[in-house]
Amino acid sequence: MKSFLKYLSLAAMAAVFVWGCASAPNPAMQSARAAFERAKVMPGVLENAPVAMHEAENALRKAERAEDREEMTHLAHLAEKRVEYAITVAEKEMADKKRAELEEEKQKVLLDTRQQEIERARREAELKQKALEEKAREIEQARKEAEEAQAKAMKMKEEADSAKKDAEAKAIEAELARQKAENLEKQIAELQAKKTERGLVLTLGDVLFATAKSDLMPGAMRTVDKLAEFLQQNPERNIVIEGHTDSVGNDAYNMNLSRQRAESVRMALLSRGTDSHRIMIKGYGENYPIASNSSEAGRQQNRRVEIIILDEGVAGESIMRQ
Amino acid sequence: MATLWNQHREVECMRRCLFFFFSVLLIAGCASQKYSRDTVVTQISNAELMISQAKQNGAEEYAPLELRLAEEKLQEAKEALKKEESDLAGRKAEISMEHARLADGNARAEKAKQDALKEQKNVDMLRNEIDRVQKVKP
Repeated sequence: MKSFLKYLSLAAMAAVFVWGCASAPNPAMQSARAAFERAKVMPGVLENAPVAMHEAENALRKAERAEDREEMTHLAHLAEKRVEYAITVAEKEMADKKRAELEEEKQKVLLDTRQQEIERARREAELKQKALEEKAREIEQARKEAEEAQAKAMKMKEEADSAKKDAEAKAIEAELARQKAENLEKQIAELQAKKTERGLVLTLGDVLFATAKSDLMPGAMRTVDKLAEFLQQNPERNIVIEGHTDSVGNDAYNMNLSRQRAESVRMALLSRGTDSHRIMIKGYGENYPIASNSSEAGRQQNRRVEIIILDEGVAGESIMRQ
Repeated sequence: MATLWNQHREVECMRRCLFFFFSVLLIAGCASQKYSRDTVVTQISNAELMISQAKQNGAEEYAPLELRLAEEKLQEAKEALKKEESDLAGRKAEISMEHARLADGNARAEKAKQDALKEQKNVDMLRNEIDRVQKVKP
């Protein structure tokens, strides 16, 4: 009985020994293992802290191999700290990587910005260049327009000058025409012509002819000279020469005499260079008296040659009497 | 009878020997002197070195609790050493070193994270600035 008790005590001691040093469930150890397992599956930890994780695992193994519970608890604590440390190493590594990425991104942004800046500057320069070219074109256009306007003004001035010259020339012409008209009037006045509806009528009186003959007396020559000069100066005017007599004598005689007297005047004019086609002659005899044939004075007035100076461009036939 | 008694004495001796053997084994197994005094001194000095390194890396700012724990364990290690409790001092020194290591790691990680955050802000600011400038000058 006594020996049995002694064996029992020995067995109990052995159990105590075994329990004391063998690995029974240890909270610190469990906690450390759990921490290690969590760290292993945390994103980025194994990749970024492989060495630290390996060391943590080693620490864990060492704790597992601990000779007694107290030692195991202690080593488990150390291992758990190693696990936590490994996590911080991974965190630092990841933060560093992120920072490097951001730095790279910053550089890229700066570079992009610079390129955009350059691009924008280039576009601005292009726009400015275009604007300058546009401006130059506008200036060129304006210059051309100004030149055209100047040319136009010069042309207008020339036209005005020429118009002025024309006007002056016309004025001179008009003056000349006026002088010519004046001259004509003077000449006509000198010829003592009378204005009638048939034209200017110049009368050569009976005294300028020999009695009952057609020959011109020397006194008539002055008038004929003047008439010839007038015709020369007014080449567009033609004349009609009409012979008239009084009622003494028969009609045939008178008709012939009147015609011959007119012919005499014509011949005198022709001899002074007047064109024959400008002169028409007609003898009317006693048919157109200008005074009464009952008195000698009247008959003398009726014996006459009338020279009708026609208006410019008028033909002799238009005023011809029956 | 005498032989019986002798036999009994032999058995008794064997039992005592066994008991002694087990006792020695028990003590050696569970309370063996693991840390020499020199080892502990080296460990303490290592812990001090690691604490100062953690401080250099900004642990006072970024990992104050872990640093404080490291310092406390160091203190405890020193006190244990004074009391000639080498094992306790060695463990305290070891745990102090782990705390110091963790404080250092935490500090460096925090610092790196803050640097990354700062960089992120820089990039964001840059982008905003560029957007603003580009809105002004399309």
